Amino acid sequence: MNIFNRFKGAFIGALLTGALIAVAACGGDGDPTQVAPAATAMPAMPAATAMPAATAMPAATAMAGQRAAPAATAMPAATARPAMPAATARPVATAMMEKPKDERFGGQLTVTLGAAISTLDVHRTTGTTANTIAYAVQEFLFAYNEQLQAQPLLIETWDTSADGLTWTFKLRDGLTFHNGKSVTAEDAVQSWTRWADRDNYGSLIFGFIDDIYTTGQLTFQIDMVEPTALVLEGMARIGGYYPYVMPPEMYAVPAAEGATILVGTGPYAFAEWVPGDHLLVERFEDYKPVSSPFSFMSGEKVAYFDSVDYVVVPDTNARIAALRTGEIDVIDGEIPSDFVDTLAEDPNLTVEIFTNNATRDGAWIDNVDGPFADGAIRRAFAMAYPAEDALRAAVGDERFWDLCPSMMVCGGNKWGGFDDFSEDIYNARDKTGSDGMTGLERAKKIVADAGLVGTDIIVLQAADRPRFAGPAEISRQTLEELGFNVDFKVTDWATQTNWREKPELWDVFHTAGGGAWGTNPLLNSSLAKNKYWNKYQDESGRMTALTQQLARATSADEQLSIVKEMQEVFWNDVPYVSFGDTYGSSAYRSDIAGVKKFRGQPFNVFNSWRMQ
Amino acid sequence: MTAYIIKRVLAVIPILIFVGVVTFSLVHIAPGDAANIMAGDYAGPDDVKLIRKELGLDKPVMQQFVEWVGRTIRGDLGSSIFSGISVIDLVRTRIGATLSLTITGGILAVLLGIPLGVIAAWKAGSFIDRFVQIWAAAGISIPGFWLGFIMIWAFSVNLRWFPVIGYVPPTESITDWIRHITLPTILLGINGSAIIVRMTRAALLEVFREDYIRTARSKGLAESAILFRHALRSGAIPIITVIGFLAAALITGTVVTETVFTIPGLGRLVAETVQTRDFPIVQSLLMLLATVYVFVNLIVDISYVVLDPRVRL
Repeated sequence: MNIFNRFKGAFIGALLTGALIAVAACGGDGDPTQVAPAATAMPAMPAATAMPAATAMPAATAMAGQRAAPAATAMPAATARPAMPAATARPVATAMMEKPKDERFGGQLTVTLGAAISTLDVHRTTGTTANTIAYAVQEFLFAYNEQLQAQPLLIETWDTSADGLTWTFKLRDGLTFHNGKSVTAEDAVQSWTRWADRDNYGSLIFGFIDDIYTTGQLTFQIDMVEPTALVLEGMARIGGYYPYVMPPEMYAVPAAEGATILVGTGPYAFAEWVPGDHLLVERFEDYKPVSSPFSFMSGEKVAYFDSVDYVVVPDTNARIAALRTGEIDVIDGEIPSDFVDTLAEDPNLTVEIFTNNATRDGAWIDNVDGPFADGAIRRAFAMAYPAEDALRAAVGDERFWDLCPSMMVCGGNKWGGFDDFSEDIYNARDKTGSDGMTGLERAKKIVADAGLVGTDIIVLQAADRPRFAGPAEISRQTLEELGFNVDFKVTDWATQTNWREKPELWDVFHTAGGGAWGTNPLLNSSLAKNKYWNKYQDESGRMTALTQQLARATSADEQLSIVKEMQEVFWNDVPYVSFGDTYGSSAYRSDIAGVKKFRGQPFNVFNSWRMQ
Repeated sequence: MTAYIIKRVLAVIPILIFVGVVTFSLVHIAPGDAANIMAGDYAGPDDVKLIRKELGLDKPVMQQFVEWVGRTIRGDLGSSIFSGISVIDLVRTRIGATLSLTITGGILAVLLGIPLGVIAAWKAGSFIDRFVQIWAAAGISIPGFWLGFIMIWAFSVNLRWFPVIGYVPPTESITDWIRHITLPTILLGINGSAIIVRMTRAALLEVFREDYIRTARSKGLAESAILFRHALRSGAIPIITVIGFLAAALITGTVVTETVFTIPGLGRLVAETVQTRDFPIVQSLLMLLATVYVFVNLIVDISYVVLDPRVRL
């Protein structure tokens, strides 16, 4: 690197020679301050033309000009949106602009998205980009705090009867959607029901529910078939499909079709979407926050930025370069570990690794077809697996991961962090057990005794997902050590998702699960019989029974006891091979203050601001 | 001449039908579909099955083909499976960026390629010829994504002359448009010029060996007259052929260029929709690109007739 730096000037000079024409085309303007980075050069959009269509305009017609272009001239409203009078299209009250604000208010935050936004409807996908946007625009009835307790967000008061069979809720008064309409109990009930129709956690909870209905403009009631502690959890659900509260214009559209507008009650309101390029949200001046402190998904939200621009930058190198030049402010999610130290050296940037934001990475194995249909072979694979190598191959050096012997993620999780029943299986490859053999030796013996040496095993590698492609190599080596004949199939992710539907086409693939998925076994479909691609069979029936008990448990002690018992079943059955916990990271411009992230939560575009 | 042109235009129709069938087949032969991608990583088999049914992706391929042909004949190119936005709207919002890149990149390629190729042929074996050949070899063999990032590192990150990401239409700001497309244009131009240089040099070297060039020289014609009046016109046919191919190559080359420079054009749309298996968009875009390719080559064919009357014989 030093040598490279020493010759940097000469190298740039050589490249300059080839670019003289370009310089001439730019009028020889070499002053960096004169270059207008696309994001920061965007003039403030006139409200009437910049945000016309959130309530009634299909996304297809809501598209405007390119990202760096002022909307007013990119697509004149008269030609592009003739049917939408600006005055009614922009109900976000501008009359509230006179609220007292301190110096933290103002400006635009530019956040990158690694993949294009596929839909504005969070009930149409479990993909993360849709939820990242919705996080700024829409809200839950209840939301988790950092202790993973559901806290009221749109709900003001609630009550449950002594027998746990009746729940009553009252919404906060005066809440409005971005389209100006009041939030009603009907909106809450319809939105939550729409979510439950899509989400497997929703169908689990609705199995306990007899009826849900409104009892007033702001009140609704749930009658239960039998008690469960999951009702509030379901209203605060993260991971899978998200139970955001929507207006009728959205929930009336079947989730399968997907609403083409985005309206909520959140601190930012949808302004503009140019598919494949960017999505802009602007401060909702009528936003009514709760007064409790901001904690994870719950608490008070203040939109300090006038607007937040979510820009799609698919390439990692381009994202990093744009962050360095200040064209973007935030890269959220995975910063490749190779870049972290370099970025951290830049005084204009802050890089954070969020160890409270664990995800579970692993090798998912076919429980119904081939050698892994036998639980003993799944256990052998797990006990031979070099977990540290896999974690390193997935996300980089030790700062980005921790070994974790529990079924659920470790690190502050109430149901994770204990190592019961994992001793001879998890990370046991080089540990000598009471039988005098290491995990690897024992695993080899199990495979040999089963007569499976030389048996074909198909390992899938999604080459376009480095995080999963690295561990695929580790799986191949491990299986070859055990004596299997590995058929290593390199594909793209889309192909892999198709192949994993057919058990005969694979034996091992690699993925990760985070958020609530890693903290609550009820949300982890890999542990449910036949619910995920591993097709866990739960031959003993114990996991299914324990899942049902957990759903009915009403005390924390009872829940913990059940989860520990589930962990015993987990390490006996090995539905998938768990590597450990991996951590997300963010890089952002150092003049952004108030950044606070927790467990799978997107970058907090509210409660953060740009220091003057 | 007219009969020749009509014949060539009519020949395009079966080609486009063939391209349509092949495009549909390729898209459906590729494993994976949008249902899995839409459902997301945490969705299980039941979720995917439901979404596949909702999207109609579980219908037999022949039925999907018939429906697609019917829609296409009626001029309905379909909509994105994910966003519901029509192909026409998606293309409309993105074609400007791609046209900007291909036109400026193509012009730069020709402006660099033909003069350098002529000089290399004219001074064959000299130092200049070797330099030009090195340029051409480098232009062809250096991967576009690598060179693109080197350009970003040098001119955007270090010198801050150009932005790293984004695109501004010329109708918004001509200055910002130039700043946003300069690096991508150079990238496309370098690669394109390399191909033209090699073809121009080879074509002219062959012409220089012809008897009529020797005759012209023996008559005492000026070297410039020999080059421009005799050699270049005869050597133009292979050069124009290459430029025709280049036009199509530039369009497809924008897949890499637009991804590296984060330009929301058709190239990136192709890459994104292939990754997500957004079949209606992929099919329509491939058909569109194939049509452009076919028509560019049609123009090339017709230009032969203008440049070389022997073709009409």
